Order: sequence, then C-alpha cells, then structure tokens
Amino acid sequence: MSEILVEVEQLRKVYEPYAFMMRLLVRTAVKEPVVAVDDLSFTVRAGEIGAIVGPNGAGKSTLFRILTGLTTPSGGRATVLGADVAADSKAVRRNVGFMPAENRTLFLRFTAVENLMFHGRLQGMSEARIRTRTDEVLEMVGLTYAAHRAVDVMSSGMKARLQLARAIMHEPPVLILDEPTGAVDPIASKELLDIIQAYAQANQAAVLLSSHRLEEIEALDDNVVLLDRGKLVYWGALDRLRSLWERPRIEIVFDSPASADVAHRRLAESGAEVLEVGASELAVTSSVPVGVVLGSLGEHLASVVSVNQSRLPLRDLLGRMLDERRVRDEQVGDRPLASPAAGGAQ
Amino acid sequence: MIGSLRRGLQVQRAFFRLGWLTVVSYPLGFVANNAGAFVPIVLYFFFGRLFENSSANVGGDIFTYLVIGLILTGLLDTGLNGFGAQLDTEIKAGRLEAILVEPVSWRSLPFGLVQFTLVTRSVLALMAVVVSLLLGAHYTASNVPMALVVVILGILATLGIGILGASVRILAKRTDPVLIVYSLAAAVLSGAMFPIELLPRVIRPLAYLIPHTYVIAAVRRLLMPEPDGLGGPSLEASLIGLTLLLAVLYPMALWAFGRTMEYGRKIGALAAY
Repeated sequence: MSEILVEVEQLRKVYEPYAFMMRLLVRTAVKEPVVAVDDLSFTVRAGEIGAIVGPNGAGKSTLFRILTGLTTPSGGRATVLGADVAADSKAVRRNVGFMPAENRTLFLRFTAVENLMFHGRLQGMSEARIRTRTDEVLEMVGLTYAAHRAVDVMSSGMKARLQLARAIMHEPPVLILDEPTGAVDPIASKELLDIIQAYAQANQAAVLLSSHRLEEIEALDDNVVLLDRGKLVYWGALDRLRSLWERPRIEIVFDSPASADVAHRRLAESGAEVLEVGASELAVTSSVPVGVVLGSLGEHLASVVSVNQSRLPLRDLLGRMLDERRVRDEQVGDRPLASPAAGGAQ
Repeated sequence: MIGSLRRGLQVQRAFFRLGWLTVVSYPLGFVANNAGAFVPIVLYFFFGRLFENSSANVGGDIFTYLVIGLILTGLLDTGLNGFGAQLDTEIKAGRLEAILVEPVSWRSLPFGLVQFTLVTRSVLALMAVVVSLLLGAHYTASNVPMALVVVILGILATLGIGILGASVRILAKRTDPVLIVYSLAAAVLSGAMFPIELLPRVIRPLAYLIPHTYVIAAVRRLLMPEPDGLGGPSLEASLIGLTLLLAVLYPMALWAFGRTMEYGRKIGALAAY
C-alpha cells in the first residue's frame, strides 16, 4: 500500500466571534461560535485522488485553508508529508501545490510565463530550473501556444489551466485544488481532470480536490470525502460507497395492467419499494440483486415483458446519504456512516 | 545555509520583478503618478522667493530648506505607506491568498513588497535634487554620504511604523487608522516645512517621538549651506534618537507582524476579504 501523504485526525475548526478590538476595525457576521469543521479524520495516499464533496457550508474551503496553512485548526491535527500544518506551515506550503477557486489570483496583466516565473521564484527554484519547468508545465496543460499571452485576454478555461500549471510548477507531492473546473466548460473540465489524474499517477502525488460537478467525481472513480455541515459523512472509495448505499432502480414492464397489479402486491410484500410508473410498468427500488427481486414474483415471472436496471446518479445517492445522515444526527448522534475498507475505520 | 540564502534572494527577486512588471503594465499611470512629485519643487521655489527675507533661521536658503523637507517626506512616506499600499493592492486584486500559500517567510513580505517602490522613489528623489539644483538650491556635497546613511536609517524606522500599520490592514482589510493618524501627526510635527520651534511648547515633545523629525533635522544640518543656528535636534541627538527608534521599532514591527499573521490564521482572516 502506498505512503500516506495527507493525514487528518479529528480535525476541528471553530470560528469564534471577533474580540472587541477586532470589532472596532471590522464588522463581523459571526455572533456565536461557528463550527466549520468538526472531528474530521481521513487520509490521502500517494497516487490517490480524494474528492471533497458536500453542499455549500460543508467545510470544504476551511479544510483547504487549514491544509495550506492559511488558518489553524482549533483541535485535532493535520499533516502533509509528516509536517504539522499548524506548527510547520512553511514546510507544508513547500510541499503543496494549491489552486484557489478564483482565477483572480493570477496577475492579469502578466503573461503566462511571467506568472509561472513569479511563482517559481517564490518557491526558491533556480532560474535554470524555472525556465525548463515553465516550458514543461505549459506543455502539460496545453498552453505552450499562449506562453507569452497576457492572462486578461485568456478564456476561463485557459486561466484554469494556467492556475493548474502554477500549482504543479514546483512538482509538489500534494495538490490541493479548490473547484478546479468551476469556471470551465465540460470539455475543458475533462481535459483538466485528465491532466490532474496523469500528474497524480506520474508523480505519485496525493490530490485533494473539491467540485460541485458530481459527474466529474464519478469520472475520477477514486476516493470520496463527503462532508456536511463540517462533519464527515463518508470517506472511502466511490465503488464502496455505491455498494453500501446504492439501491438500484429496476423498471419492470408486464404484459397487462392486471399482471402489474398482482406483481405490485407480491413485490411490496417482499419489502421492496414499488412505484407505478405506467399502467403495466413498475419501478422497484431494492438493495437486493435484481434476480432476487424477480424471483419474488414466483409464477408471475412469466408475465414480465422487459426489465431495465439503472444506476442511481451520484447526485441522488449523495442526496439520500445526506438526508439519512441528518435524520440520524437528530436521533442518535453524528458518527460517519461508513469508512473505507482499507483506509482505517473511524 | 547557502541554499536558504539562494532561496531568500530568489524570493526578493520575485518581488522586485513583480514591481517592475506592474510598472510596465501601466506605464503612463506610473509616469503621471510620479511626475507630479516635481510640481511642489517649483511651488517651493516661488515660496522661497516670497519668504527669502524671513527672520526664521532656515540655514541660509529657504528654498533648499523646504526642498529637503519635501524630498525627505516623500522618501519616508515610502517606508511608511509603501508596504501597506502594496498589501492593499494585493488584497483588492484577490491575490494575497495565493501569495500567502507560497513557502515564503511572512516576515520577508514587508521588505519584499516595498523594495521596488523604494528604488523608484529613491531615483525620483535623486531627480528632485537635480531639479532643485537647477532652480538654485545649495547642498554641501561633502556630507552627502552621511546624509544617505541617515536617510536609510530613517526609511527603515518608518518602514517599522508602516509594518505596524499594515498589521492592522491585514486583519481589517482596509486602510489602517494607525497610519492615518501617524501621517497627519508627522506632517505637522516633523518640521518638514517649518522649524519645530514654531510649534506650541506643549506639543513640541511629541515631535521627538517620530523618526521624521530626526531625519529631517540631521539631513538639513548635513546639507544646508549655513547649518549653524538651525532649530530642532542636533546632529548627534538626531543620530542617537533615530538609532534608538530604529532599534525599537523595526524588530517590534516584525514581531507584531508575525503575531498578527498568526492571529489572522487563528481567526481565519488571512483568506477573507
């Protein structure tokens, strides 16, 4: 198993209301302590991509700020290549390539090369290495043709690629990408994700990225960290999440409405969720395999004309998990719903 | 050790280059902003003619007296506001977060971000001296090296105050009230445009709390053609006062800046705008 590069242990961040002197300087909306991250624990290994998913206010940005040293945790700890993010943030920042959500962080009047050279120098790279690496990363992100073009005339997709080039310029072993595809079209988004995957594989880098585009998370088919209101809902492989939570929808067409009625009763008795979607068609949601569902029809199996099984979109799957989590929170507590088989249970 | 030095030089080089690229990005704006610095010299030339028979002791030439005050105020203002202004630009542009996640010691930011402005303002000051010479100012050339030492000490001391002010700006994200109050006070108390002996006796001691007073008094004593009888602190007192202020202000400012950054991390203010 590959090396753990990012380790988060019982991480907690509470934003306290500003002290009186601070309130004299600037108004704050925080009147009560706000728990932005609460008891988070997960790891990201070399070569892995961890997709941070969750609704607005889930704690994604705070988590990234902690991991890049911009804010300190209130409890627990996080390490990047063994360096504590709170106590040794400079070492952490040297090992992390960060892509902020906003492309304003680029110098808009400067060319792509000038932006990359500025970053390379702040990373302490030698001039010779900066020149070589600038050419390399521009080629990797497909921006060689725009190397000497000012950023302000670039499209959103080009700016995103340049931001990614900046993040990987110093060949960091850890990438933290805050909504890297947020401002780009689906085709450019796929290209970006391909570059990120290739970088993670080639450099055995640990990647943490956030995205609201769940189809992208599905396409990455790696690990998922699902957050909700600062708490960890799920951490682990996407496949495992599906196996634990997915209840496929089976659409069955019968030879007559009467057969459908009989089948409806039989299926409901077996414990499946059944919905009539047509006079002779039922939709069945069940956690058991399709063969078992059909087997429960007994002698009425012969009236089945066709069967179609569809995967639940990730959006619906995560939505269901969050709904059940919220209900459970109110009833019993707030432990994560599941953790990965190989990642260490919490 | 050598690796750290090389890395540190690369960081400073990055910031210098940043200043240069910013200037060439808006060339006319740069020229227009700085050309305005020469207008007051002409203004003071005529003031000098108007008040050339004044009874106040101005070292033998009121025009030179005023020009020294003007040039030094501009240079010290760079130390005072240069870092804060650059910080403001980065905050408004939304780039501060990206700079702070670089593996750069945050204590190296003040000098890094202000160095290019210091160089350009120094060149402008030199040009202002040349213009004033053309308009009839008189300087004692042999004391120029010592005057430069005093100016460098003064810039570092005011940079200390600027860093303290910028510490507030990092948290408040706005022009800091500390520097506004200080700048107003310095304009009146420093003796840049008139001898501090003209200040009411009650507030005169305050003049001795700011570096401007010592820098302006010392440079006038070094460069004015007839320095005997000039008001303000003596050359020795100025050097001692300036050194003491520098020794206290600069380390205190860097310490305070570091503490502010840590506090900003704690309350989450470094990534908020």
